[in-house]
Amino acid sequence: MLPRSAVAPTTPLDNRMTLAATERNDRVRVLRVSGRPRLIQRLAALGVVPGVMLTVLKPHGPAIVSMGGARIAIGESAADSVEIEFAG
Amino acid sequence: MSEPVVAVAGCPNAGKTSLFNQLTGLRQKVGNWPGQTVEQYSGEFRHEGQKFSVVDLPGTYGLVAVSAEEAIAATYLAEERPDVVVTVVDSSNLTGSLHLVAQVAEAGHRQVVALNMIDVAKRRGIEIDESVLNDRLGIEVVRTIARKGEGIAELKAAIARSLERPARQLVIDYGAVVERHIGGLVENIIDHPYIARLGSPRWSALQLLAGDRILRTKLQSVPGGHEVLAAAAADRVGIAAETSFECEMELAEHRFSWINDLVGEMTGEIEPTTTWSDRVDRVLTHRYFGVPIFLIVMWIVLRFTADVTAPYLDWVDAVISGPVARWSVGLLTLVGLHGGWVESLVVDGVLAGVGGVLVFVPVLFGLYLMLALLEDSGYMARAAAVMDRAMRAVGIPGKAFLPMMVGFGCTVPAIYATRTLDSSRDRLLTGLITPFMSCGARLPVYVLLAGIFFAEAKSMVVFAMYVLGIAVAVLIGLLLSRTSLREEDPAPFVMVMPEFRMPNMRTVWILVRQRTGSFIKGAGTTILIASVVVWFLLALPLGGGGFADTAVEDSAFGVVSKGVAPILDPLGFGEWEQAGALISGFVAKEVVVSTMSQLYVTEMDPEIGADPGFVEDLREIGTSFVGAGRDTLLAIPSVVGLDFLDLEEDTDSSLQAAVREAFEESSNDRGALAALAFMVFVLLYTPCMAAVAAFRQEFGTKWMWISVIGQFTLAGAGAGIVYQGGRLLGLG
Repeated sequence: MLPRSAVAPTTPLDNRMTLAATERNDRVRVLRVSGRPRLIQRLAALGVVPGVMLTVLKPHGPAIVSMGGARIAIGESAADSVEIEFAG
Repeated sequence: MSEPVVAVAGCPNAGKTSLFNQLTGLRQKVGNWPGQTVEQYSGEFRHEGQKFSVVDLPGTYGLVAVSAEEAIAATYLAEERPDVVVTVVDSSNLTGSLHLVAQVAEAGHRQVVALNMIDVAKRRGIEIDESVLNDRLGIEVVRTIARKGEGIAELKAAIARSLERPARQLVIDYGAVVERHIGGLVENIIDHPYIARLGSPRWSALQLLAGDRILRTKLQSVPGGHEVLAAAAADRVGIAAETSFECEMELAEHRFSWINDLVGEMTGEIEPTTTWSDRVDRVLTHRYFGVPIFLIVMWIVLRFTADVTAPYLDWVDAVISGPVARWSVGLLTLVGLHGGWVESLVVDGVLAGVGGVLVFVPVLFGLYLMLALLEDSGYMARAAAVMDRAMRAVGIPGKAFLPMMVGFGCTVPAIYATRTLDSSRDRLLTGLITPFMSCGARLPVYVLLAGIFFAEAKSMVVFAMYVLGIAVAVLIGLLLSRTSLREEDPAPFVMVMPEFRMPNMRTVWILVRQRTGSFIKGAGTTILIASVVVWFLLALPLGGGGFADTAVEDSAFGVVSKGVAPILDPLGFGEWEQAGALISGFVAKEVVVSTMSQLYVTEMDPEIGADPGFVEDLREIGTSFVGAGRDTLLAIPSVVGLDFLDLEEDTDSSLQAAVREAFEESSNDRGALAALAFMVFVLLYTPCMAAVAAFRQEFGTKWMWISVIGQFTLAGAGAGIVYQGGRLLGLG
């Protein structure tokens, strides 16, 4: 049997895309928000919930997204907790 | 019947404050929320002869409170039941804003919506059909641009009209599972007297299911409350089991899907547009340029505060110590009190104290003006975003940035500003490091000493003090977040960015006036009392002489100072006058300089000799004020590096000469080094009595002592390192 480290792939198999991996002007749809309770509560209070469409205005340091006209700044580690799919 | 009460609610940055200012004009009262240190603004307006009183609620995203300020808004609405709630909506962020509108409607309040910042929404390509809100919810909607005063008259009329309608309760469908549990819970709690008093059992049930901690805390203290809580807990568990989502997530999802449907009806599909504000944002919050830009902005703020306001500072000083002192002595002579202890009390105690307060007004006014401009333009939010990553690295949340910035003005409001943070851990950490942000009252000490010993590099030395303060704060933050204040679930950085805009002069003026006013009232009283107490200690003869007629050395103050002085000797400022200045600085930093001038210059009579006469005095005050205005205008270019004004240093005044001599003497001719150590000590030890009192109120007695002892230890260590280290290196 191989040691675990030899089996583990170097990239995630599930191709999980997050806000942190986007580029400027990408249109994305939020799939789910994972992570610690406070992050989930905060994003939910602002309406960043599954199904919502975001436009990425600036992807890094912090990310700034446009959501229905609002501009929301999301810190880098928080952006990595927002799972998304690209929406044309 | 008493006048109707209107509560103004809204999300942070929705323009709630502007709207409140426009509604009530300048007739506002500032108080505190009951049992809270958060400021409560209230006012009134008239519409067709009817008087309305208006209360401004702290900004909140919803009625399930997360922060302390949100708790105030939620509690007020639940318990005081105002006649009308005006909910201020950010038109460019309908989804976020309608969350609050929906909750206020679900709670059954009579509501009027101010669709604010409609101009910003237009710029972002959002067209809104507000009739949907009226049709679906029976809520009257008024378009406003509060910053320009547009729509305010219509809003007043709508508020008056709304009183004629009965309050309606909004019912959102939360889906079969949740609805069944809501129904069951309502059955269980409807007979409880406290729930009955709150008005709507359905709303109370929703709040209980959402885990609202205000309602929970309340119920824990009323008879039968535990049964209500137990019933709610059972339903929460039931919902989680049946939907496989946490109860509050299940509620949030249904509510937002309802909101998104509503927003879809109001706006249609929103075409994403990029505004100039977005392009500016890309630069100001840039990954690499963001922090340098922030530092440049800070530099301009500090230069403005130090240089541009200096002429006014000199003018205030000259007026108090010249004409005003002369007139007071003249008046006392008229009533036959010339030369006695009363004159001494008035001139050396009261007038010195008043001068000590007023001398700061130009500086603080300048600082508050800059901060208000930064806040109202929207830059503060960017600065927090830029700083979050850097600050998070040392365990401080980006939101702590605001209290720390306020700390550059005054530590007392900064301590209270920690309430905007989300957890008690973040609040405590920020409260512990904020006092190291060099407050406005410490500035005159640096300006005086740097002016004497580092005339060539005055700005540089003053700036270095601010940087050192930040560095110490960061180190302490790093230490605490790795040890006693380590946390597992740090608050994430997520915030709504307000649009960049031209600062509104009315808003800026109200902010500056309120903050400067609260300094004069709050700190001013302490300073005046401190000044009189110091005078009394100076007048009390312990070592010989009569009352108010004793050498400073022999006074009570001198005796105490002499006791302390030897401890400070290794730091380079072991003269008893220097110790005395630091002791009075524990009361308020503002009096360090004034105590020095009292101790070093008391022997001199104020220039009473030749009295130029009252009219001459008045003319001189006017002329020199105009002169100060001219100097200020000339100093503005110097802020960005252009020096039109030859900053010819004033020839050493008697105070400067005395201070120079004292520091050379206390340090065996290493005056500059000792002065630097003294500045470091002033930077690091307790800001003032008021700050200690504020800290105790917020964080308790135990942490107050930890904070005070820690600050003195750091101050001693810091000054010691500078002085002894400098000696070893052969400096000074």
